[in-house]
Amino acid sequence: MTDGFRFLHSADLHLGRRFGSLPDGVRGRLIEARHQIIARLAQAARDHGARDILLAGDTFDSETPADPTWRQALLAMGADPALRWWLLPGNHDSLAAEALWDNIARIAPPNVQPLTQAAPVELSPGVTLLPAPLPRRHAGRDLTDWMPAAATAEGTLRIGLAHGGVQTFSEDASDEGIIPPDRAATAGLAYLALGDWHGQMTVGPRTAYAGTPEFEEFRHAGRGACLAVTAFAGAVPQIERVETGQFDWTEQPLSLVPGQDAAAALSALLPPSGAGRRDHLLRLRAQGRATLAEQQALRDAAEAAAPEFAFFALDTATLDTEIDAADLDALDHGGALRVAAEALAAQARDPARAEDDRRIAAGALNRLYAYLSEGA
Amino acid sequence: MKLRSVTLNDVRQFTSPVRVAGIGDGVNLLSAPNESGKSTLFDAIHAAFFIPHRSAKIKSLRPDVGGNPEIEVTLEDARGPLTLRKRWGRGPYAEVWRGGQLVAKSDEAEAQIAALTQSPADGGPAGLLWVRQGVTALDDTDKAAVKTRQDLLTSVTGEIAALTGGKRMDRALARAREELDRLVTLRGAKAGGPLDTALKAVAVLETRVSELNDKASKLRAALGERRGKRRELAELTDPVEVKTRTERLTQADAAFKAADRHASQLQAAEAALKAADLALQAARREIDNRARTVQAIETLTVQSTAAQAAAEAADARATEAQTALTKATETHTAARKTLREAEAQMQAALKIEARRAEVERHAQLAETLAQAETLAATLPALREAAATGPDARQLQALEDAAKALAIAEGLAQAAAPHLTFTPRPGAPAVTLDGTPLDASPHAITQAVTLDLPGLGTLHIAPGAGDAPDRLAGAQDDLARALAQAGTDAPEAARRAARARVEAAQRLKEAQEALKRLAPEGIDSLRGALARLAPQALPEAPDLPTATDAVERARTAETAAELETARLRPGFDTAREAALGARHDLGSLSQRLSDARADLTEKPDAESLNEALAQAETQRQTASQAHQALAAEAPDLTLSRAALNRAQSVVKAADDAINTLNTALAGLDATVAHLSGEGVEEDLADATARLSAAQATRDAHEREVAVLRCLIGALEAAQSAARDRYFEPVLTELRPMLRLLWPGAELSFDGDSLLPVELLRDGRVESIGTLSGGTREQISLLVRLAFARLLARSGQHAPVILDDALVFTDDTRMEAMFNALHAQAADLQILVFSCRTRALRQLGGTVLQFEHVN
Repeated sequence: MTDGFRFLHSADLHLGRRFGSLPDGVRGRLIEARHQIIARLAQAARDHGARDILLAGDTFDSETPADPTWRQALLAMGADPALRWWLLPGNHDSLAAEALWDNIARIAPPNVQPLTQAAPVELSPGVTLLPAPLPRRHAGRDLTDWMPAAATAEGTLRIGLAHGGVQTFSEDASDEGIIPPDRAATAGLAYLALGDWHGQMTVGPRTAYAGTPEFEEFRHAGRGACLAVTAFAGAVPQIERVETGQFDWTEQPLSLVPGQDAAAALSALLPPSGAGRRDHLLRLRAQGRATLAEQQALRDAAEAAAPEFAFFALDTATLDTEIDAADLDALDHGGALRVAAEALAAQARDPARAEDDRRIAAGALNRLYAYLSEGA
Repeated sequence: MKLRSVTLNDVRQFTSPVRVAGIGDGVNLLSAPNESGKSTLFDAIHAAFFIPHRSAKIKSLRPDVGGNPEIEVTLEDARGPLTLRKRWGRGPYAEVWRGGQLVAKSDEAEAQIAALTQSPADGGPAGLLWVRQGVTALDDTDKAAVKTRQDLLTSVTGEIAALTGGKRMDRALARAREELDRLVTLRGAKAGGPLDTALKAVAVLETRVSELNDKASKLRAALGERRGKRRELAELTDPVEVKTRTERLTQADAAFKAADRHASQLQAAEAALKAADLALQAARREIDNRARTVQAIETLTVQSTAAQAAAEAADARATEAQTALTKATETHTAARKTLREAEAQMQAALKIEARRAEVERHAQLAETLAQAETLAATLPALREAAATGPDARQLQALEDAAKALAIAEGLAQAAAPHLTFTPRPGAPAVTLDGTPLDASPHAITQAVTLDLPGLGTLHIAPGAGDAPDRLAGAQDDLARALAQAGTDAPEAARRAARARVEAAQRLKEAQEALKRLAPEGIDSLRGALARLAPQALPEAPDLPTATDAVERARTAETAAELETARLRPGFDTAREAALGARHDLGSLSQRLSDARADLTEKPDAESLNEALAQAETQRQTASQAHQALAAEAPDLTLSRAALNRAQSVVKAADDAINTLNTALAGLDATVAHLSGEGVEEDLADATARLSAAQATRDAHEREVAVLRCLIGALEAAQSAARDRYFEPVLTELRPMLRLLWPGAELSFDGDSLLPVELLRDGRVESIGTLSGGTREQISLLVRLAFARLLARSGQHAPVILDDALVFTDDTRMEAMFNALHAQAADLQILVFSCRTRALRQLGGTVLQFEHVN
């Protein structure tokens, strides 16, 4: 097979995730984007001349997805009969989800194949898939250990498909099943397609995590993607990243120091203005210190920018308030207002106070500044 | 701090530099016409100290033609001369120069400038007197400035406001309270408010998560249980397992049937052995029976002989006893006959005695009848006598009439005229109705005639009246009573009545006697007498003799009876003994006969011995056959237990398969139902929503904490400022007030801290009714009081008065000038005014605008 065998490698679609922690406005869009990722993966396969799409686990977010979730997913996969979908049970949708896999086996379209047995499957003449389905959420052992001994015909292109961590960076820290990083070599695999890690990562020349094609949290920045792989017998496969995600998830620190233009610093972290912001989820974690005026400016800038984004959050919980004399003068040069401001400033700086109390005092001072700045 | 000069460039009308220099200690006066720039100077000094050079809030100071306002202020502080320079707009800067050297610029310069008006450490009013009435740094507008200048009284408000935070403090507090009110009330989260909504959302989601957790747990449990049951079912229905169970059952069944058959054969052998045993025992019993019969015949023969002798002896004793008894019985019979005859004689005697009594009774009855008939014969006469004469009622009526007549006569006598005649001696006799009239009085109750000899007759009538009528009536009544009594005189009536009573008594006694004699009537008495007709008495012994004979006969009969009774038991015993002996003899004879007959019917001894030998041989054969089968017998109990176990295994497997299928059907339904609902998706979603709701709740709670912290700090500062400065300011104010109005007192409202009443010349006047001049004087003095207070705290703040005395008349102006000078000892006071002439007498340093080249 000198031309190699081309397929699409993806994983961790987590269909059915609801995004309950996000505002209602964006939640529906994110859910819909997760469903649409099937069509985008299909398009990516067609674009790259691949017939087979290997999903390395966690296609569904839970072992018992709602009927509409899995039924509509199967319909979407069956939309193009020329493509073949290979579904590996992961830790979220392990074989313990009997109902799910029974249902899929029962009514899935012909081009959707659940891989519920750790046994060789012929993808194409001369190409065999060695799947390692998870029998339960926590496998507790290396499920790829059978692959080295799996018998295939001489010259067969062996492709492994597994779900789990090769290091302790597994998405699920409690997972004890560690896949040896050299499994591709020890099992004679042309390529080991892995799932579980939502970011895309190459473990070795023949082993890679495809990552989730549509991100669902801020842990991994950017947009989701899959891998277009061409496997060769006796040669290193060609692996190409194909971006498929609709939404861009970004979480960044916003470090501030007194005297810095806080609004400008925030603006510098924003993506270019444009329609793309509508599909951008941005969380900025302000840290460091800023004066009352700078914090006010920061809040104003955030408030101005937020409506353009699918989701925008400015977290100032760890931003300390720099008590500046000019700020206090701006509040008042004397009198009770000044006394109150100084009292709050003293509380905010008092190391004997609990941090939360200090932050509340700083918040009160910021609030006083904001009130007195209104209409000024 | 004291101002020395102020230079303006590009400030409002001053498009070229002007300066006010030579500002001295104490009172300074800048007196100039309106529009000459006094207020511009005032505002410029304010901007130099309070508006940062980068601020855009300098628009009001720009000239109309445009430009960048520049201000330079020279002053002296504790360290010596100092120059402040600022420019706003394009190329802004702030500088502080000391001793000809630039010591600070930009923000540092601003900081040093701010420090010049820094409030005291205790938060007192700093730069207070630099500010016009109520105007503060962040709400400085031309409109507000103009308004405040129009009413100097508001300067008091300004000073108080600067002290307590003023309108800005109020605004901040109002905003904080407004936002806090949106969140909470005194009782907790405000219903319908954001915090309340968040708390409720958290509660709802916690419930939702809990419910979904339960559902998810149920689903997981159902899945786990179903896996287990499917595994169990697979094991049970595994073909190898099924075949094994079936084969074991078949083997156990075959083994049990073989054992059962063997057991039946063994049972038959046991029966044969038992039969042989029985036959052997029967043969032995036959032999024994024959021997016992022969022995019995011999014994019975001996016993029969003895019994015959005993029977004969007993018969003899019975015959003897019977003879004695017969004799005694005959004696008894004779005695009994004698007794019966004696008793007959006594009965006859008794009958004669009875007939004799009847005769006596007849005689008595005859006598009684005679007495009764005699009495009965007297009864008619007695009844007639008892009915003759007046009865008691008639007698009583007669007595009543006699009594009434006596009364009537008494009355007539008393009412009638009385005639008493006393004759003279020798007079002829006089008669009354023919009767010689004696000397006693005579009542004239009826017409009488008195014959008076020689004189004629005298007729006397008693005259009219009712006494005669009543007397006549009583007499009539008496006559009728007598007639009814059948008599003509009362005494006769009384006698007749007594005779009637006595006759009635006798009649009663006769009737009672007759009743006693013949209670049932005379006829009955006659009948009884007739029935007792006397008969002739027969011959019979007398009763005592007959009685005696009976007693003797009875004694004899008793003795005979006793003798018979004494002999009868002996006879009975003897007869029974004879009967018993005969019976025994008969019985023995019968038994002997029977035994002989029995022996005749039995086989002979040789035949019996042959049968015994044959039975023993059969028994041995049966025993050997039984032992052979018993030795080879399989354990039937074990075989049955093995079969039961194999059957129970199969049945248990079948039952378990059925149970598992049923349970799996239910679990399939549960799993299908719950998994179709997407419970875990819902749970993950609800958990995430709960987390978000908790974050929202926490944010609102933090907001409450922040607002409460802010409100607390503001209220505490405001309260402290009032407490700390209000009284000291009043203390400073009081002597200044009295410069104008001796003995005057100003009272303040506790809440607003504004003056409300002025007490002067013994009168209390509301501030609102005071003249404009008085109000502006009070305002100015209040500001001076604050300046004094600052000076005492070591911070000398210039006092700038911009048209502060507009309405004050000349007389009061002098007093105000004195007050200003009195306070100016350690203060710097700048007076801006357009009243050039009026202020000419103020004294102090005179200032003026100078153009700078």
